[in-house]
Amino acid sequence: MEERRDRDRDRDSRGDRMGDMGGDMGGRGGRGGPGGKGGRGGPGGRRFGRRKVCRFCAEKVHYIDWKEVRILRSFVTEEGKIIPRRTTGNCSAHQRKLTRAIRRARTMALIPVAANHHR
Amino acid sequence: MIHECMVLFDGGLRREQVEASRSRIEQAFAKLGGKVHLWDMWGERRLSYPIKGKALAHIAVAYLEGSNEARAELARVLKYAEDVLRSLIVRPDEEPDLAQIAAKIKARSERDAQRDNPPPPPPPPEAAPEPAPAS
Repeated sequence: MEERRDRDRDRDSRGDRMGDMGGDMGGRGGRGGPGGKGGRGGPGGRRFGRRKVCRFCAEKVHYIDWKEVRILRSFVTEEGKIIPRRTTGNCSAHQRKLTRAIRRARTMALIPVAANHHR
Repeated sequence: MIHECMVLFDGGLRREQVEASRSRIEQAFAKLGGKVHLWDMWGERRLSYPIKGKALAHIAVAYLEGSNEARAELARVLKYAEDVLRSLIVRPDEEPDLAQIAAKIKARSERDAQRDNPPPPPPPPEAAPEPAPAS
């Protein structure tokens, strides 16, 4: 009986500790596995191994030319939709410039318009 | 301030017709003091989606300079020109380097000329004389 009470007390105290950590760590320690460096773990234990960088920042591009179709195509899906920056890793400033360039290229029929927009 | 103007000419036109239409547009722009520095002809291309029922277009990009009135007039002329499918006049964030663009156009035209008229293949090497039969 004594033992059982002790075990319950231990479990409670551990639970409190986990609850405190949960806010910052997103429950990463819940599985008891090693925390990935720079990774953003979710409750499902997802890991992102490599940090995405903005390709335009890396190449020090200031102006995205709307006539460079080959570059624009790499940021558009086959359907013609703009790939979100959470996928490509672009910074917000470059994503804005890229979006403007893609819209201009779409206007001039250089790249396709999203399938469900063009009827 | 240099502006870029892309014009989609009807793909069914011949090259001479496109040139004539281009010079008409340029004259209308020049009347109000505008000047076209450079024409970059991309040639006939397939459009991503049909415009006015046309899937092919001759694409031309002009680098021009002119007052607001001249550009407005140019936009009006382009809008009502029958052989123009669509046009767009924009001010780029950075001043375009015309010398670099001209060099690029020249390199492209040379490449196209080489592709259209490939150099003749080298003559086959002469056959070695047959050795005299041993008697």
